Amino acid sequence: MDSAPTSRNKAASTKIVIAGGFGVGKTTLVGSVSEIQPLRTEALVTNESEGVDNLDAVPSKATTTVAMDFGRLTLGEDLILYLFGTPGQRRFWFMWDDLCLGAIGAIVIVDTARLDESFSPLDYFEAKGLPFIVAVNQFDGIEQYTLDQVKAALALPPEVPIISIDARDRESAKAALIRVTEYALEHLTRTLAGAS
Amino acid sequence: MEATLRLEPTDDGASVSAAALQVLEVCDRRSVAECAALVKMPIGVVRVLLSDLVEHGFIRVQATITENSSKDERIELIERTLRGLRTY
Repeated sequence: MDSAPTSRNKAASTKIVIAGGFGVGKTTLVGSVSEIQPLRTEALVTNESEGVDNLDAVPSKATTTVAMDFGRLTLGEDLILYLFGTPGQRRFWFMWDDLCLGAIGAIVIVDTARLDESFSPLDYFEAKGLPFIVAVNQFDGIEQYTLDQVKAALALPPEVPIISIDARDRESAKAALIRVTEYALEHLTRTLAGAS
Repeated sequence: MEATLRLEPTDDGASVSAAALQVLEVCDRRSVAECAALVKMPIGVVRVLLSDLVEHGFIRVQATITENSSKDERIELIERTLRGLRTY
């Protein structure tokens, strides 16, 4: 009897957002820790209100479909963690609002060969006040730049953690999830303390 | 998007559309996003179907953190997540 409605009001699910440029390893990371094959869901986007963007290939199309990949980790009987890999492009920011609402935090995956692609997610999370960490995906295990160099190049605020990951490796992906969750907790307790 | 759904016992004889029935069949213990992926419908469409199902009492939506959640609720959830991840 005592096991019945233990947590009707406790959150039963939560999420972490995985962001970054195209092909940077978002879906790979989701896939390496998810207990299910990453699923893909779609949202319809109308282009009407959009400004100029790069959809030159489909100039007359009124709507586009945005795909989003996600995975699931059951962390206990009463808690499921979802990972959402977000479309990185600026025109999908309206979806980010939805994704970031109630999220623990975000991991921005960067490829050092294409650092510029990480600027928009970084700016976005900073503006939204969502705690984020930066994860440099080491594709070939070759560190071309030190984490400090990448941090400087991205002009990250000093408190933002930056780590190196291999998105294909489950333990590495898990470590990144733990790091962002720890950081979110630090962030939250810091804002509590800093209120005075 | 990550809110999970639970089937509710109901004797409501309300009929549901074929699309809603499809969603109803897959939604138990799953998130809105998962339902959308499984029935291969856009997430916006699934949201509408789910809200109808909630209204008719077929399902309920389990709690998640929202804009209105307190700091204590957030901290509790993050700590729980952290414990879960460390043993995952």
